[in-house]
Amino acid sequence: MPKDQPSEEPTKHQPVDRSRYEASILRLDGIFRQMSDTVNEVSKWRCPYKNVESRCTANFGCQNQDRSVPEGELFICKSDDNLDYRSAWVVSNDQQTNLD
Amino acid sequence: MPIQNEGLLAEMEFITKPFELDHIKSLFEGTDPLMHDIAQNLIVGNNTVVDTLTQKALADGFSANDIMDDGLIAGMAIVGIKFRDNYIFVPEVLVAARAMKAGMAYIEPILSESGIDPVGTVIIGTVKGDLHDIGKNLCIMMLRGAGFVVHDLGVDTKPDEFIDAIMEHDAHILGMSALLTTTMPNMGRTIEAIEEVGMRDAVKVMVGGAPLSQEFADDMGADGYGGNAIECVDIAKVFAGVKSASAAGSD
Repeated sequence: MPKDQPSEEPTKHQPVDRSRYEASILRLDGIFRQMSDTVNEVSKWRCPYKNVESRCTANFGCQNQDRSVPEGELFICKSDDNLDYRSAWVVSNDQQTNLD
Repeated sequence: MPIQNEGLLAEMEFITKPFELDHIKSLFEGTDPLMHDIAQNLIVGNNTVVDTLTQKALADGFSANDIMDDGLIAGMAIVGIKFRDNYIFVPEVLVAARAMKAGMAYIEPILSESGIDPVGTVIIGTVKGDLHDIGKNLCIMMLRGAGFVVHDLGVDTKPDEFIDAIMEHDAHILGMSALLTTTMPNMGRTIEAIEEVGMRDAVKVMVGGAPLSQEFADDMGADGYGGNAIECVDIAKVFAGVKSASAAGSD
């Protein structure tokens, strides 16, 4: 529970309960393992770089990027999620030049 | 104490399975509103607010255990459900993970003070010439969640940058990622560079990425190959000596 203490005094932290910490890590590991399974499933139909607002978070070129956005905004992803998005990813400098 | 954080209550509306909703509510009911604020800000990926609130919670006398369980992990549980049910996607998960890291930055020193050392230290990056990072970032999220200290070198990482980081952080595990067949050979070149500076015996090398295989990893001289983020963590645990190789393979 929180303790009242003047903010100017150095905070003395309660030591960590090791067994409770280990249980926490196990729980977090379980959450992340389920997330990893979801990644494997969702990545079959949706590009993992496409965010919930259908914007592209990739740091590389992709033919599905609609670049007609204000400067500073993420590109719009044009993928309809039905095609293999990987074929649209730019993997060479020549392809990148064609996008720019 | 009932949940009053409207943002958190709104997040709970994404949980449609009654037993899950009951479970999630049970995580928050009886905990302090400050923990609800931490969880809600983690869910939306507001790392600066999670940073501030975690500091406040510690200053107010909350234990690291409480902040982890009632704030950070409770929030991440909702992120997991929203992701599973396609309300959010990988980028949003990674933003939430970044917020979790912001909070854990204040917890980790307390773990250390309490005699709880990291499982191990991992240097990780996408190899030279490759800008694809999402698989690497998922591995980082899971490694940190498992108690590893991870130093992320980002993308387009040159062999000498890997070597410098291994030396600087005294790391015993190196993770390399590549998505392109054209950049995969740079993993082998990095391993050769590590051999040339006489550090090969001091560091275990794991590799991953869509075009890779166990055979390719073996050919280039890597110590481990992970086909996904779960395998990455399991291999790292074996390298750190906290999991047997047979147990890693059976998960």
